[in-house]
Amino acid sequence: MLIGIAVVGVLVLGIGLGVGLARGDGNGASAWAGTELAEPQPKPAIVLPDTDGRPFDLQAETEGRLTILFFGYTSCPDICPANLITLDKALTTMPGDVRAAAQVVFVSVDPVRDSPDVIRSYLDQYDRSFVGLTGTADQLADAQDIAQVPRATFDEPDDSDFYTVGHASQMIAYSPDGSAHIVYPFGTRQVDWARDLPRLARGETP
Amino acid sequence: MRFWCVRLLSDWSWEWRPYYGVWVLVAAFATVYGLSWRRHLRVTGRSLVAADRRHVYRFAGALAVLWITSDWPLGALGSGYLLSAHMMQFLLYVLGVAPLMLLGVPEWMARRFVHRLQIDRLYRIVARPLVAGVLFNVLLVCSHAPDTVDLLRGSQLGSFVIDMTWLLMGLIAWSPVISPLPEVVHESVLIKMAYLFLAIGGVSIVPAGFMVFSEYPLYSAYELAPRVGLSAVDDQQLAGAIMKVGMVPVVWGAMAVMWARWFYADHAGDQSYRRARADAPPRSEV
Repeated sequence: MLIGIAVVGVLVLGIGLGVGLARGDGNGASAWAGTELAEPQPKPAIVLPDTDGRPFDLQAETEGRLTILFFGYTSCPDICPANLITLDKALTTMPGDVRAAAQVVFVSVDPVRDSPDVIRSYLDQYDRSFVGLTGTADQLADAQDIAQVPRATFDEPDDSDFYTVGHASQMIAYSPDGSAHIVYPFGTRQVDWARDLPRLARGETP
Repeated sequence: MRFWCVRLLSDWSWEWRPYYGVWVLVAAFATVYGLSWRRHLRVTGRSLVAADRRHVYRFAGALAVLWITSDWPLGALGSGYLLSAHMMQFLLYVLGVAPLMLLGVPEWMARRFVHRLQIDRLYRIVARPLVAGVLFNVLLVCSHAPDTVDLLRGSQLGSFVIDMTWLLMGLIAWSPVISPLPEVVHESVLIKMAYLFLAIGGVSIVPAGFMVFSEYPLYSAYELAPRVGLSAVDDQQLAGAIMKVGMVPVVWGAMAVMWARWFYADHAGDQSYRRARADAPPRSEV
């Protein structure tokens, strides 16, 4: 039995190491860590209230800047915190000009639980510069349609009235030219962001 | 209910979760050990003496550490949340469970075990200091490679393989020093001390250094896991420190014990030699 475990262990570990070495430092052989889009997507014409209650015009307010758009909700147990903390930690390692060039916009798809204050407190855990947007259910549904992401779906509440929300897990990176050429799926790592952010901020596109 | 601790995407909770594979493994070890003792005592017609009890206590200690290391909460934290907990598990398997197991198995049981598995020759080869040291460190590097950990921690079987590989690594690493088979243990104290220093305490500085000094998290399994207090980079630095510093007390402690035993044995030998010389009649009288 011990020999069996040893052989299986060495084989699997060896395969793991081999796969790791073959894969190198990113997601495949692409020059970009994110997923390149076949056709660029224009920055959506979304106008939603921000956490101060003022209307935030996505196109106008982020013109000429690298904009990373993400739909989520503050009670999310897995995807949203992982996405936000990974992006935030990568940004903190970037030079000041890259940080200044990037604008992160979080749109909550859960208007019932996510009041502006809740969204603000949530984003402040990561970075005070992150913009939080909310709106009515209809406004948010329209915003997801315009951004070409699937609409959020709401699960049945459990005994404690907690419910989860199915939502788009990718983060869309709009280059300074006003179009998204690349998206970052759930699982994007700090090292991936660190590889792409400076180039995106400079206006490079795939 | 799960077989073995595995990576989960849900938030960490201090609510107890059962992992029956851990209980089955511990029970299996205890049963085989207990039955071996029963059979041995029946065949030899003797009862447990103090030296036997020491073996039993050490093996019981090994199983206790095995249980604590593999089960909730440390097993669950280490398999899916904190790299530092994962590293604690590694140290406990290699520096706790494995040596206690070797010290808890009496010679007759070890002999029967390797004979029944027909690994007598293999074990003697593997337990040579050079072979054991190389094997331990190759497995150390492989089992801590980011892609290995990311791949295996995602499934219960993979997580089990990682944990058992560490246990096996520990058994291999400690065999040249404290194997229950005396012919396997290297005779030279100096070589044993050098082996411990270089083989067990030496190479780990490389992966530990990567963990401490890397700007970004190396393991996606722990980077993307729900956070438990520490950021991914802080957790990784802590894991690197645990890997390096955690080895020190056990490895240096073992070296100190070996040196002290050797010194006193040698000293005692000198004294008895001097006494013998003093008691002996003068050479001219012989």
